[in-house]
Amino acid sequence: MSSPLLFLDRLSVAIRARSGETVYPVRDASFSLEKGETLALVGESGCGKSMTCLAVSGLLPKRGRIDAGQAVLDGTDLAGLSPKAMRQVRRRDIAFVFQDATNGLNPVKSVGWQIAESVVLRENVSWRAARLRAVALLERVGMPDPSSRARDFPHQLSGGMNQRAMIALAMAGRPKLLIADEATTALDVTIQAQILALIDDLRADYGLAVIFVTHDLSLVAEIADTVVVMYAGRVIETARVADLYGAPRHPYSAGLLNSLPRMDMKRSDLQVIEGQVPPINAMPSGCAFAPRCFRSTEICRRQIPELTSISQRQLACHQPGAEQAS
Amino acid sequence: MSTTADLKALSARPDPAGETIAETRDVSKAFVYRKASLTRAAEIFNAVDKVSLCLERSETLAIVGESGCGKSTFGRLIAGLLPPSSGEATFRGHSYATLSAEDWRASRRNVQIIFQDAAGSLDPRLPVEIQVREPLDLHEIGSRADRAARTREMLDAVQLGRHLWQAVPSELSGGQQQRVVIARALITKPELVICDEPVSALDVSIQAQILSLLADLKSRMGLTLVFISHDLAVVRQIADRVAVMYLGRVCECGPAGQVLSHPRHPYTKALLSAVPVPDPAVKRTRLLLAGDPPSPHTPPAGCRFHTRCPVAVGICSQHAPERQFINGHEVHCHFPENAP
Amino acid sequence: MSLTYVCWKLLRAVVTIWLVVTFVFFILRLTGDPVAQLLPDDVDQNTIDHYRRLWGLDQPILVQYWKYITALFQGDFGISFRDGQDALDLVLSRVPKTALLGFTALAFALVFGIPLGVFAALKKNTAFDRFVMGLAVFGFSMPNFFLGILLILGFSLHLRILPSSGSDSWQHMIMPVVTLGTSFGAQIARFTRSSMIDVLNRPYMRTIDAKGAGTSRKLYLHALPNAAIPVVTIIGLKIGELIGSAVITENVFAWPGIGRLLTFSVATRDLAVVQCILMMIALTMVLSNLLVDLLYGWMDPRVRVGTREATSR
Repeated sequence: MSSPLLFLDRLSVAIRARSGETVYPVRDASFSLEKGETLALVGESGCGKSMTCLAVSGLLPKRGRIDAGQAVLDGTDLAGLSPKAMRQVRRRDIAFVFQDATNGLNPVKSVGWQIAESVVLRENVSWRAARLRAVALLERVGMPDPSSRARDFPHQLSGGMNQRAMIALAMAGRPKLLIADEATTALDVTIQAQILALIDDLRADYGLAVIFVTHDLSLVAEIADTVVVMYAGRVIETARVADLYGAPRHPYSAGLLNSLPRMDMKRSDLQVIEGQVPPINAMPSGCAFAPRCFRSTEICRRQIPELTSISQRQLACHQPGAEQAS
Repeated sequence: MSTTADLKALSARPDPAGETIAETRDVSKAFVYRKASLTRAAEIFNAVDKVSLCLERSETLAIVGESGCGKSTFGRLIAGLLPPSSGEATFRGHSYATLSAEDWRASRRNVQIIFQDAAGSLDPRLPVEIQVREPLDLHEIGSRADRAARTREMLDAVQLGRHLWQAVPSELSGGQQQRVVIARALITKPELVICDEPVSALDVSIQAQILSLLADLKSRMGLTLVFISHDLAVVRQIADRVAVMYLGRVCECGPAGQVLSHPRHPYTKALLSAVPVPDPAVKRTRLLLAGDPPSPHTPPAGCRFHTRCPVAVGICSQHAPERQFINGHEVHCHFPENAP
Repeated sequence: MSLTYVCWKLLRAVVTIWLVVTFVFFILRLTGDPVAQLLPDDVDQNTIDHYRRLWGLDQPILVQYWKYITALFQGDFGISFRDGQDALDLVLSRVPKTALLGFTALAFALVFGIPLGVFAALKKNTAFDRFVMGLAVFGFSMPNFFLGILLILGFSLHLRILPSSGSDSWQHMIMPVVTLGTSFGAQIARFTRSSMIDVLNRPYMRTIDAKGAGTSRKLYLHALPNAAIPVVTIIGLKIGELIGSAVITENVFAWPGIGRLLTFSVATRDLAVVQCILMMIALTMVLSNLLVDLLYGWMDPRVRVGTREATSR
């Protein structure tokens, strides 16, 4: 068996707050990802899912740093790279697609220029050749009339078209890993469907590995092979998508799925997880979910559960649910 | 959970279902999107274009559609917060346009609106208890003691922990802020509440809390709800009836079960098929709509959906479809799905 | 940038200039008699009346105004009462000196203000940032004439290394330029800093990091063109202030430009010259604002090209 394209081993991120105290938005995150695989990183706001991806690509804010652990891409530990080497990784290997492409593109440069810039950063070609590549890329991502759209500025294009331009920009570096951070959250549902289909198409074509960062669990079921659920900075459950949706074993995963409104059935009453995520600077001493968990016991409040492999999934829970849906 | 006495106080209203509480007749709202200049007249567009809808007491009507379809504008028209450019909007049989100043003030008490941006609709410096009481003070309802009692009752009803009553909005989470906004909207015991994307900004576990709170308050207080949302899965959980809008017009309107399970209009079908289903076992053939919706400023002639419609033919680009009823469910399409 | 837009701008410019001319015309005539100011105290009434008639000051003020305006349309700005020279020629002969001072001061302000603002933004909340911003507050809160006098005291009277007045060599320029440019440069530094901080926090800067762009590419190719847009607007608005300060600075350093001519002419009620200068100043401001508008459109595509739906109509 070949080694995975990317694996994280107990990665922790530390951020020094203004007040001087250090907080840890990501703690001991571990997961791995194969070439051509789509992994969904899910959780609610503040759970550390975006921060994990920023850490992997060396984009942490100035006050942040990787505190411990490894993030290995194709045999290289990214945590140990210099900022300059990390820049090369971003030019070649890891590409990002962010939420809200309209504000994510520079308003005073044409979209073609911005894509061509990525081409030039990646390889030593003339600007002219890069502009042509930009048009080809726009065509590849399904932009109508690509050669004239390449001369347009972001404010002239719709949100969906800008998101296509952003994906073209990401693909300009011929990356191995595409990180889509809430890439469809700002879009209307019919446009979202188009963008999801496009990303999946690119994945299949180029053998791209995709990390989908999202809070939308309905979307995950449709696009992902593997799901990593995060809560309060930690990975709490990792499973193949069918396994997770069939029988979520961590009470938080189960709660999330049960609180999800569904199109295909009307629930008499949505289940509710009471309470809220604890603030990052006041984590409980045991399992961070224990205060909201209906199954929590004394050990949950005292000891942080380790992420361990149990029958094809990884789970961090002292009181996991049954393996099969009852 | 609060006591049954509280509940009685909140739900002391008869519940005659089937009665029309609010209605719009051919209501339109035009906005200017380019101002007039020396050389050209102002360019206007109809954000809402001749929409007729009837709202029955104690029902939840969901208005769904994508950005720019006019659903929020329509919500404000029903609430009487915007004067229509043509047509009329009525509340309990009276057109807002003809209300006396006093009646209009009374209608403000009876019709409330809740927005997505809870933080933005609260005063950042005032303790939330005062903000929830404010509508009572403004309308001078009851004695001082009554108002204070009712405020406490309402804050309990939205399940905001007592330790948070003196907090200012920035000290609350998004879900708690939305609870405060709901309490403030409901304290005057309105009959009609317009909720404009009330849960869109919230995380899913909090979203479920707010949805079940709304459903609970609705049945306890006999509210009529207009629920504006882009999220069909959320709508599925809460709506009795659904109206689907596209570029300022209604495509389809009917009982939620029918519209969402057996859509007749091709747009509704495409919209539904685009909604992800959180079950990897369900594999569907997705109906992908090509292209972007046209700009609402320059809607296409004829049926507004024809530029993206998979079944459109010549007539669709020339004539706007008439309203027709299939099994008591209204469809605006030349070629509606007729299968039962 | 439509034609209609430019026409509107020009029309407004003409109205602005007309208002300035009219206002000055009446104010000057209502506040003192030019003949009395120019002639010695002991001349007889006949001489006074002679000059009154000669300059047309014996006629009703509205008639004077009408004559003045009609002459303006023929390019006649009147003559200087003092020596009978054509007012326009007199003013134009002073323009190069003032332009030299003004543009050098503007260049000085930009050369110091923009880089200091950019670096302060990059080093936000560090000692460097606080030092630069402290300096900027000091720079623009110090009155112009006071800075000028301080410089004269220090460099001319005490150190004796720079001349205190005149315009004969490049050494003569140093102190006036510093005096005039400091406050302007300080304000530009502050605006550049805040604009730059704003731009660096925009979502698109993260996209630029994510594509692996280096620091200088990120700063000069992406951040600065965005940050410059509001700064250019501010510069356009502040041109008027710069002209006002130039009048003071020229007087402090006896710089033989328009500003000095203006104070001298006001004191002697040399009406035609004062009016000519003020018209010139108004014209400069209007033109610089127009230039800024054009520049703004050139720098910001959101102004230059409308949205697609708007252009397709």
